[in-house]
Amino acid sequence: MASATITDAADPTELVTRPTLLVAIGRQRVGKTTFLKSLAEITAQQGGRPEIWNTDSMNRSHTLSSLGPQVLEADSMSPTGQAAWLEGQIEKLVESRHDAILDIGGGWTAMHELIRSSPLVAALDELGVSLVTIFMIGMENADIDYLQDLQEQHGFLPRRTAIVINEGLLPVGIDTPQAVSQILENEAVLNALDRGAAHGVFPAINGLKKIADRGQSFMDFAANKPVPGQPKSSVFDRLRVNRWLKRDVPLFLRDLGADYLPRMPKGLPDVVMENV
Amino acid sequence: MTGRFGKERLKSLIENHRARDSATPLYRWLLTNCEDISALRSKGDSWAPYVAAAREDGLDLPDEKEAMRRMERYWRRMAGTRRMHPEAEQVPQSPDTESAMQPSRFPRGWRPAVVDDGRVSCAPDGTGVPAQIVPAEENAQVASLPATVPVCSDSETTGEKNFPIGRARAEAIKRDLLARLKRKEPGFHRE
Repeated sequence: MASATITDAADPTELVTRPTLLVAIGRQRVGKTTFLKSLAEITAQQGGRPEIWNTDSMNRSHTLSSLGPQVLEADSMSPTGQAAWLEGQIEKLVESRHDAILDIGGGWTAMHELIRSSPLVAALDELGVSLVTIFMIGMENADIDYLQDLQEQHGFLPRRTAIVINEGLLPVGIDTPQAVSQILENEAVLNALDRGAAHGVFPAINGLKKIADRGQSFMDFAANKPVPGQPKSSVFDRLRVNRWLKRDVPLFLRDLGADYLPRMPKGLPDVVMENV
Repeated sequence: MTGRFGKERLKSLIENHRARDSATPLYRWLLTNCEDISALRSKGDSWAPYVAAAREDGLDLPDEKEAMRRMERYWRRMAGTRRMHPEAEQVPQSPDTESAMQPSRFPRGWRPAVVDDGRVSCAPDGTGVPAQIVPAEENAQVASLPATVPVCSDSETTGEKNFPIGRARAEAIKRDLLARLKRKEPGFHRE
């Protein structure tokens, strides 16, 4: 399946590619960085060159910065300062026409500040940037607060919105469909689905801490690249991450659909079902 | 111990109630009998006798455990709906809910793509054509299943608080995930 090429809606015959700004929203520790990091790595593997923006100043051990020096970091720690930085980056994006993956972290963030203080969605559309908003949630009601608040208090539900349930947040002892069923009973989720939001279940990954401790990309970890000062990784850990990267995450990306992802010139990644 | 409901009594109850178009037979059965169930059943009691009663009334239910789980879920949902919309108890019967094209997939007020007052009903995926309903079995392709129900671009929400489109999509998602679990597909069951 080819990756999405979204054209300017004003003139569908004009083949002008709209850059995608993809942002994950949710409270702290719901898996936003894990999702964005894996997405950034897979997008690069598939020939995409999105800019990686990091305004998650609270998270120092598990961060998009582990992807390398190409990651752009906000020069301010405050939401207002970061919002200003973000505005600048978005303006540059209009010129460069690159896609961007943004990690805003949890809590009240620069993105919330932009949503509150400026008509962001309308502005982005006007600027020719396609905003993809991923709401990461688990089973706790608090996980859904952001979705509810932004929807109800700020009327924020961009056209390309996806509700992504992180399987890793689901309690042990309850199977995934059963847990998802319960989440789907939530009114904020139903409202989003009612208004056309997409949906996906992000696959759980084991051994995340070991990768975070090593400050490595997922692919480097799976490829057994050594990290100075760190012990050799376990073969089982590597196999698990490898299978997650080659089978589970690609399957999830297919479910989500190319319209909700940065451009991947080589197409969506193959789902490797065997021998991983 | 649960008493027998009595077919005549149930019939008259059914006639006096209208079940929501998109409601499943089990949901409508619970709705029809909710007063009796409320009177007979205490919180925490087993649903087994009520499952037996529903079966006796000709409902085709899955195995006991799943049927009880489903009944409990519908019961909780119904209680929530009644709290918010007391008028929701009065909903029309739909004799066609077991057909291949599950009505639960459609929002209330769904119409085929016929021009009506100059307007064409919009499919939930926003394509402007009626949504094609593919039975889950036919749609079962490992690794390429669309768990994502296509987005309703510029979606026309009904504005109703019970989110008929959202509920229909949620039901479709649940069915899809269960089908995947059954097929032991990766990524949807923790190992």
